[in-house]
Amino acid sequence: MATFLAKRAFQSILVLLIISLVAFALVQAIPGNPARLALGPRAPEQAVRLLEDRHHLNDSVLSQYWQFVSNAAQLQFGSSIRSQQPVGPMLLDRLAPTVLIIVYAAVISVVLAVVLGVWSAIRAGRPIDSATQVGGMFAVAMPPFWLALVLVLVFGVNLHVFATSGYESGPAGILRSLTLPAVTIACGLAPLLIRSVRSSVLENLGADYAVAARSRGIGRLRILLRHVLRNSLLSTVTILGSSLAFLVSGTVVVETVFAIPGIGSLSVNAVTNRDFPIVQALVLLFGTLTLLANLVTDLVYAWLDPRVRL
Amino acid sequence: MSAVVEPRELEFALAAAPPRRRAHVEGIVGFALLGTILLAVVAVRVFQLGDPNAQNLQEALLSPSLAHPFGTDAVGRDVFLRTLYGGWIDILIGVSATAVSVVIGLVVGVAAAYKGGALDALLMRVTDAMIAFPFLILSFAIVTITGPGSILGVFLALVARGWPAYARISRGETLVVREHDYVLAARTLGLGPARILRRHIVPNVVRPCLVLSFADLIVNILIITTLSYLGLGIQPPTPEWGAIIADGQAYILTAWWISTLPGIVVVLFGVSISFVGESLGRIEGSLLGAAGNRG
Repeated sequence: MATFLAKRAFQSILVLLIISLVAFALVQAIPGNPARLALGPRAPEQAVRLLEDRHHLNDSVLSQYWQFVSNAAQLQFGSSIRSQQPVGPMLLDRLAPTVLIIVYAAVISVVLAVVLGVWSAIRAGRPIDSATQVGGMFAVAMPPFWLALVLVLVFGVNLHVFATSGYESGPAGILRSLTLPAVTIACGLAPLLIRSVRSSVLENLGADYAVAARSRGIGRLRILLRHVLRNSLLSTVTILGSSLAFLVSGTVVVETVFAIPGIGSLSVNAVTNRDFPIVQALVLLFGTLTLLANLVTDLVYAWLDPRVRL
Repeated sequence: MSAVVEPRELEFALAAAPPRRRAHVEGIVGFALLGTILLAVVAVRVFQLGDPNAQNLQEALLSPSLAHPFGTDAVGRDVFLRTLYGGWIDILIGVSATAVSVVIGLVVGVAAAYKGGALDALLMRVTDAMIAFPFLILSFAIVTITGPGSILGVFLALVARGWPAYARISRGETLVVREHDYVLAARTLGLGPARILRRHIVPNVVRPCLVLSFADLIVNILIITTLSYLGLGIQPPTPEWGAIIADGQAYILTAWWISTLPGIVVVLFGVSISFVGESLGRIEGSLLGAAGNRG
C-alpha cells in the first residue's frame, strides 16, 4: 500500500509536469498580445507595457515557465490579466455551481444506471432491455448543447417547470436552475453506466456463487441485492471515476448554454481573451482532479474487492 | 494492480451484446440510415444541388413544408439544404481525425509495450497527461492558435484528444499478445521483430481499437459541433451542423425548427454509427467463432 502510494505520487507529479508543459506551450503559441487585448486597441503603449511587465510577459520563455511552475507548486496562480483579480479566489467564487452540476449529474446517472441496468439485466432480451439500450444509443448521440436547447424549449418555455438560464442558490433554487444542466450531462454519461451495470449483473447472476446460493433456496431478490449488486458496482465505480474529464467538459457546455457563472463558462472566456493565468490554473486544477479521481477509483476498487492488492 | 488505469473505455465498448434478432434489425436499420445520410450528403455536395448560402428575405423563418422540409432561417436560407451541406464537413473531419488518432495511438501503444523500459514509462506518462488534460480547453487552445474557422485546427484538436485512448488499449493488448505461444513460436523460428509486429501483433491490436473507434467517431462529431456552437470552430456562413444549430438558437421561441431539426439529423447519424458498429462487431465475431472475441 505504501509503495503503491509512493509510486503513484511520483507518477502523478510527472504527469502534472507534462500537463503544465503542454498548457504553457499551448498558451505561448496562441497569437495576440493578452495585455493589448485586455486594455483594448486604443490604450496607450505605456499602459500595455506596464501590464506586460506586471505579468512578466516579456521575460524569457524559460523563466516564465519556471515562474508558473514554482508558483503553482505553492498554489499561487497569479492574477487575471483582464480583470486583475487574483485567480485563486476567482475560481473558488465560481466553484459552487460547477461542483453542484457535476455531483447532480453523477447522482442522476448512478440512480438511472442501477435501476435500468438491473432491470434490463433481469429482463435481458425483453422489450425493456432493448428499449434501454437503443435509448442509450440515442442519448449518447445527442450534441449536449442541442439537448440543452430542446430541454429549455420543452421544460422551461412550454411547461415552466425549470429556469431557462442563470444560477440560483438554496435547495429550491438549485433544483430549479441546475436540473436541466445536470440532465443534459447525465444523458451522455448514464448510458455507459447502464451498460456496465447490465453486463456485470448478467455476468454475476450466472456466476457459480449465485447459482450455489440459488440452489440453497435463497430468494432471487436477496441474491441480487446482497451479492450481485455489490459486485456489479465495482465496474460502475471505475467508469464513474474515469468519467470525471467528461463531466468537467460537460459543464463547459451547459454553463455556456444556461449562462451559469461557474468554472466551465469561465474557461471559454479565458481562452478567447488569452487570459493565460486563468487558463493555466484551470488546466492544472482539472488535471489534478482527474488524477485524484483515478487514485480514489483505484482505492475504492481495492476496498470493494479484497482480492485487489495495492 | 497496475498503476496506470486500464482501458476502461474498451470494457463497455466490448460489453453487453444485444440478442441476435434485435441485432439483426439494428444492423439493417443502421446500414440503411447511414447509407441514406451519406448518400444525401455526398450527392448534394458533389452535384452542387442548390446553394446553401442563398438568401431569400421574402421567405425568412418559414415553418417546415414540402418545399422546405426543415423550414427556412432568419435570412431565408433552406435549413434542410444547409444541414445536408453541413454534414460533409462534420463527417469528413470526424472520420479523418478518428482514423489518424487510431494510427497514432496504435504506433505509440505498440512501441511502448514492445520496447518497454524508459520509452514505455515516458510514453505512458505523456498518455496519462493527455487523458487528464481537460479536452475542451485543449481544443479551445488549439483552435485559437490556428485561428478562427480553421478546419485544420478542429482536426488537430480532435486528434490531440483522440489518440491517448488508443495508445492505452494498444499497449495493453500488445502486452497480452506478446506472451502468446504463437508469438514465442514465431520468435523461436527466427522471425524478425518487424515481421512479428506486422503479422502477429498489429492485427490483434487493431480489433479493439476499431471497436472503440465507432464510439469515438460519434464523440468527435459532437466535439466538432460543440466547438462551432461555442463560436470557436467552423465559422458561419459555412454550413456546419453545430453552426446551424447555434444560428437558430436566437429564434428558438419563434422558429423552433432551425435548431431542433438539424440536431435530429446529427442524432440519427450517431445512432446509425452505433448500430453499424455493433452489427459489424457481431458479423466479425461470428466469423471468428466464440473464442474470437479478443483475437
